[in-house]
Amino acid sequence: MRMFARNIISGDPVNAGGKTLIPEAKRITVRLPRRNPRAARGMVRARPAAILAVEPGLPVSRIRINDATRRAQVLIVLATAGVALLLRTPRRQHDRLIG
Amino acid sequence: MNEESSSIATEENQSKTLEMTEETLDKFLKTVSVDSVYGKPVEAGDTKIIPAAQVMGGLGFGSGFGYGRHGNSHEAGEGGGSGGGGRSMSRPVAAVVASPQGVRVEPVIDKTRIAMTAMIAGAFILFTTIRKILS
Repeated sequence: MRMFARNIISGDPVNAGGKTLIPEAKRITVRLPRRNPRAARGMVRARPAAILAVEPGLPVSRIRINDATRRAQVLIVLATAGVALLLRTPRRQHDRLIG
Repeated sequence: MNEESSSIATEENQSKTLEMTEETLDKFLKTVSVDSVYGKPVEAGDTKIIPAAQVMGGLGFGSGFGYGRHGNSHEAGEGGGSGGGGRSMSRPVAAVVASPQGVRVEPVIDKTRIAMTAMIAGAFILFTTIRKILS
């Protein structure tokens, strides 16, 4: 098995509302290197990626599934990092940045 | 000769154990599939709702064996141990709503998680500010 694998996996189609929906997910698998030949460890993470909607006579549409909670957390962390950086910069550089 | 044969047998047992643990790890890593990310669709009239979640899992184990003599003694001592642990977690991400009007994605917002992140960020900024004032 490979050390690191990232793939997009799709599931069984579902019929709904006159359309066929094909779910897609992203899976990341990590097999950590064996420093000790008598040990094994690994982890896997999968998240929903998109839904493919197929309707007869219309082009296939790909609807992305976004993780709103994770996005909000990332924005908070980035804002915190920006504020912390501003607080730590010396006064002269601070005035130069602000203008 | 007896000690050699017993150590060889022990090594063989250990390699068999290691093969089994590798197979178990492979099976565990393959269990996370699309079926675990997307749940069974729920029908409500003309509308179908498909829940989607993020799934994470980890597994690790190891074993060890020791063999040695005590000073000039002819008696050999041996000892061994093994341990392992694992964790799996899932978190709702969104719900896909399919109706004759169209397909839309309704996100699941975890307010508790966002509030905790904001609190930790606020504490970090407060700590940085206090440190700057005191320095």
